[in-house]
Amino acid sequence: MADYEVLRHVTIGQYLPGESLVHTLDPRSKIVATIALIAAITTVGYFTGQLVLLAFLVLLVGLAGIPLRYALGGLRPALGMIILLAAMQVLFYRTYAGASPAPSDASAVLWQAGPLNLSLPGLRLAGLTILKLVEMMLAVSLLTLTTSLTSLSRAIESLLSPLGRLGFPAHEVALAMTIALRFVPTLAEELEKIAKAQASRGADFGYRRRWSFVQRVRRLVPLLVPLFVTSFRRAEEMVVAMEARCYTGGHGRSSYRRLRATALDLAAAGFVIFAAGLLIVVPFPI
Amino acid sequence: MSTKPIIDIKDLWYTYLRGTPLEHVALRGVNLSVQPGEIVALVGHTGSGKSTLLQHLNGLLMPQSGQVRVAGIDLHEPGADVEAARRAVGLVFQYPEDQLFEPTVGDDVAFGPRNLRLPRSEVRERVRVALESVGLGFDAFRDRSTFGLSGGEMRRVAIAGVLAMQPQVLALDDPLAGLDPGGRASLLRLLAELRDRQGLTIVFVSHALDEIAGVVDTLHVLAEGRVVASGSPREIFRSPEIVLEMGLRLPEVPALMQRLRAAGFPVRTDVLTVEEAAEEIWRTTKSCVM
Amino acid sequence: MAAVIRIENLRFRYPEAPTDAPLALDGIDLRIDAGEYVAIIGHNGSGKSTLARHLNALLLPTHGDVWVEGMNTREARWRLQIRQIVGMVFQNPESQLVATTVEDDVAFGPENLGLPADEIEQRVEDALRRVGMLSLRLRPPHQLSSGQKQRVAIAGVLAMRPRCLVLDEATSLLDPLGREDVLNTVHNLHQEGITIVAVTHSMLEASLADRVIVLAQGQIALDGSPREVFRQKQRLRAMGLDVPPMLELSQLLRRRIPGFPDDRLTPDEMVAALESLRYRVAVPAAAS
Repeated sequence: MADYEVLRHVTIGQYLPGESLVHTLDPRSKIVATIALIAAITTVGYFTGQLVLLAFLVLLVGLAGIPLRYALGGLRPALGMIILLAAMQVLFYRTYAGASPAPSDASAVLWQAGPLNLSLPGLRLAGLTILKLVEMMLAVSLLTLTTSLTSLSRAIESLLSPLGRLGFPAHEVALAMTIALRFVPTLAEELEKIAKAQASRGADFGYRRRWSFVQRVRRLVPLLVPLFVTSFRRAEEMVVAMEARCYTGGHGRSSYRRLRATALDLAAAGFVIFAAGLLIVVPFPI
Repeated sequence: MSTKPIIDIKDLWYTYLRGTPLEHVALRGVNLSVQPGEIVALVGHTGSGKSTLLQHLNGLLMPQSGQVRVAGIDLHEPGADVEAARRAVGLVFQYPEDQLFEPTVGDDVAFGPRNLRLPRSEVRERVRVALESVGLGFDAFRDRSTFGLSGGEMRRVAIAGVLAMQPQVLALDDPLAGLDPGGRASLLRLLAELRDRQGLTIVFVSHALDEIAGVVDTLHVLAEGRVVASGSPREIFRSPEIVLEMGLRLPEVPALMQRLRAAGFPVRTDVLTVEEAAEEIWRTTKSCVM
Repeated sequence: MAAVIRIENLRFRYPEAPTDAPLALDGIDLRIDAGEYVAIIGHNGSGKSTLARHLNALLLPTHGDVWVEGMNTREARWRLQIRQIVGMVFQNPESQLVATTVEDDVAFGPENLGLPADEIEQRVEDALRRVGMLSLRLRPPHQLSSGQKQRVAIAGVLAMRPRCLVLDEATSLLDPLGREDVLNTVHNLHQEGITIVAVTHSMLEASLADRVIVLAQGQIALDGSPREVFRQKQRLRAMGLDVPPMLELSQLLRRRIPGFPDDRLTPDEMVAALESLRYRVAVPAAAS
């Protein structure tokens, strides 16, 4: 039975206020640090390295005073998919030239049946994939749970502003991001309402193995079309409201709040970048 | 009354996001009973639990504690037939026109019946009946573009989409929201017609106490997740203390009668319309004017 | 008294409409003075929102002119100033809030004007205080009720220091409590001296104004005090409009009780009228 409250568990865009060190860091440092962490998570191909990252992230989550279960909540809806993905990775793992690491001896294969096989490298790859997904979730949740949307959008605007001088529409991008962030919870609520309404008319959003990809996409139409229509209508209304408040683009605009980075913020970001770089570069045994 | 209620809710509790930092208790032991063919309104402030309660009627939300029996289906039992509840109770959400998605009206109304995997001829028949019962002619509207209709028409199409499931109970969350006075009167007439002509039980959430009083059989007042008062509109207006305590406002006319009574005029307070009020005031003052 | 808004022979057709379609506004002449509280009512399609949008140059006349404090809305060079003087709040609370917190949203307008950060800070606080939302300044929009959102929208406009506030059906989508909060806020702003133009389809709201303008088919059909306008029940009914319940009651009682006023608008007035009836009648009895 589909759970319509699922979106309430989505932690992206949710902010849990707190007084921890992580909460009070300059949001720009946090964004830069998160990017560095994500770079490390995606590129590090060794278990040891990934476990270090995992430990670091769990530590940070604890430091921020966030229940671990809550930070991982966003994975809940995708849990089935993740397990399936991992299973498929294991079962269909093939050794081929260039695969890393490259086991060429048959002793690594534990079981085989036709095109399916169970091998150590396959298990390793699947394990890494799951680890990476969990870490990504933690890293992004950590950012959004400890940083208010305001701070995030201010930080993005600040980070992008040097590009503005090069002709890049930094302000417009920042404003578009702010508006998008502001609407994430609203759209989530609306999606929930639409899903419930369509389910009340017998629509089935559960997962069925026998559905083809096309069928699965078609079932999303009653969810997405109304959301799009509402969003477009709302966008038109927003434009009028913004013009009524004298919005004419980024030129000539001032800014309400300035972010001020302290030595601690710079140090924290610097440390994470350094550590991430180290993990990427250093070859681990496993 | 010897008939069995079509909706029977006992001691229903429901908490959102249980076990998380954002936990919120929405229903605290709700008791509600609705007879078949009744028109019932749930009133109360935002946050009193009205929408949560509605969503228990068709199994979108399952009771965490307590009993919910709808059209003979026990939703509190494990393995309850939720799909049957979905068919028995048609739920119309607030601003239902926001959920339209098919390019043509006919297709959108057909969404429900098609999900029931009915044969095409039956689907077409249900669409026809549903559109006619909301006052939109089948031939005139079936090929119209869904998004090219007026707001009031779109809302009727959305309601038709739910009626096409042929429910026994029609549950609506704030069906009058956003309509102008004419539109509201017209929609209330439609709800009364659906009950009179098709015997549907109607349960709806509303804020507009004044306008619905003429149509509704029973009002249930919700506050903080509980039903605090139930009765016909006249009964509620006769003794509105609980309602007033909850900070809800009486409609202008009954409120006036309350004030007149407090000022020493011996008027009845269970008055619904301006005409009744005039009669009642005249009755008590004509001796003065003679 | 200075005219905040002056409209002469305004005629308007939407650009997308075919040239033989009837005009949305068909010859409007109107003058609104500083400090007035004007309600504009009319059936759907009467042109009330269209008229409202001419007041801050969101729409420009097809024929005729609109002046805001002497500035013609057709002239592009005055546009920003006009929109500062005439602020507008719209029907949907959700689509007016752009930022991620209340105070950031209220700051949006002043930021557009390029004001220094300290001034913006002051205006934001001042505006939020006037609408009673200062304590919720850090809240994100999705945690606000619709009435609260609408008050934030009003604050966003107030931060521009307008002299006139136009409300385009700003209470239609609100629950009763939210509507009450917004109307109280508007009342207070009027007391502070801000000119209010409220487009509404609620007769009760219209009766709160000093002046009611009734639009029908793009023209002004009635213009007067609420009492003068609502007394004309038949004409209003013919235009698809209703009258406040108390007025209806007044007229019904007038038929039975000669001399009873036929134009009471509020429950207070009705109670007072009935009490004076009782007193009036009681006196002869005491005298005899």
